[in-house]
Amino acid sequence: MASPSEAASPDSAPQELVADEVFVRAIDLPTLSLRQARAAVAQQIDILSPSPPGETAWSVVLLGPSEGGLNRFAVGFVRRQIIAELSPDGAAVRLTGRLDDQAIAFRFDGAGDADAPVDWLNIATLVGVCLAIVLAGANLRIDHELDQVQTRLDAAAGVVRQRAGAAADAARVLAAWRAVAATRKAGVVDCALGDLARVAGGPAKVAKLEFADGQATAWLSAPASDAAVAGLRALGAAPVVGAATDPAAAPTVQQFQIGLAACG
Amino acid sequence: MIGRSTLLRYSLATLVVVILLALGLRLGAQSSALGAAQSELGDTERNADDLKLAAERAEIGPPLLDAKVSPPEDQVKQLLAGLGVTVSAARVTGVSAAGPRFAVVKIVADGSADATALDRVALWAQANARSVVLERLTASARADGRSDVRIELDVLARGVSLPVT
Repeated sequence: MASPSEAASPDSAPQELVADEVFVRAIDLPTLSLRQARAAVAQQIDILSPSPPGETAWSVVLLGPSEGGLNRFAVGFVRRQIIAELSPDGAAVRLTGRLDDQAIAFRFDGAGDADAPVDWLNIATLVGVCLAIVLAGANLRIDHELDQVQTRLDAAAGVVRQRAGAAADAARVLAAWRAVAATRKAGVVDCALGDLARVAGGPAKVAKLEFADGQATAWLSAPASDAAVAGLRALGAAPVVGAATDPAAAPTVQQFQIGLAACG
Repeated sequence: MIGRSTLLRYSLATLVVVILLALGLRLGAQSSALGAAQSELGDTERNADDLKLAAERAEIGPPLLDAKVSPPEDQVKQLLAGLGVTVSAARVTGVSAAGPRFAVVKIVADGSADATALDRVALWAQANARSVVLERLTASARADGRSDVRIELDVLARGVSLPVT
């Protein structure tokens, strides 16, 4: 539906049209308001328009007071096709009509204004620009987060390297400690003393006891009997023959080594 | 014929579409990279925790001596006295590192003890095998029933200053 323009651009140069093309009607209304007059015309456009309303543009001009306190308005009608031809760029057009030999200037909106199709391309472009701004912001934010995560990752990698070194050191030290401890089991001393007491049938007389490198060596105070030697052998002790280092040692077997194997 | 303004509008729209596509692709790549980095960070942090635990578990100890309390030889003297060994002299003969926090102190103690005390020392060393190693024990019987003893121990200690090599 056509709707007239409230105001035309002051810079625009409305085109003049021959009076025949503008059909003019006069209507009396109890108002001075152009807005109300236009509303009234819009309601009656089917009756007032000389051509199908969809193809017709119209404009209202106040002429002045008439009888009975009413005001007279002139309504100008013109075919939209003419407007489009006169104003291909959609600018407003000024056309002159005649009513009772009186020339009346009407201003019609250009075809590009009121009924112009929605410019979806512009809207889409605008939306796209907005979306691009949002995406660019998201890009920057994720860039920032990536930097932060990378920084934390570098720090964590440093910690991992440090802890891996510490764990390796600890494992190495523990392994070395265990290796040493495994070959120097102090329990061998207890085992040796126990074996000697068991063979002697009571407290053994030992001149010297030495524990070194995980092996206990006992020097008996008196030559061991064959039974004692056999008993010690049975317990895993190894007699040291001819290796007596103690001056009091007799040529008989009296020095025994008792190692881990004997104390299993 | 297409007017210049229309051409410009279509060009602008095309440019916007291209920019949108580029930004979208970049955002997708960034999201993927961020996810991968976060996943890697989680793995690395878990790995660091595991290594810390492993290091704690692999650490020997607990240390028997604390050099900040008193000299290690004095503490060993007291320990051996508690086991029944009368220590006449004790000295540190060497120190070596044992991990980041501890050190192994080699101590030689001379004194006297009976067989029971020697047995006790051996059992004590065995019971504290993670903290002390009985390197050498020599006992020579005396006429009074006791023995002159020399005990060489490797004892784990904290707070020991390592010699600069």
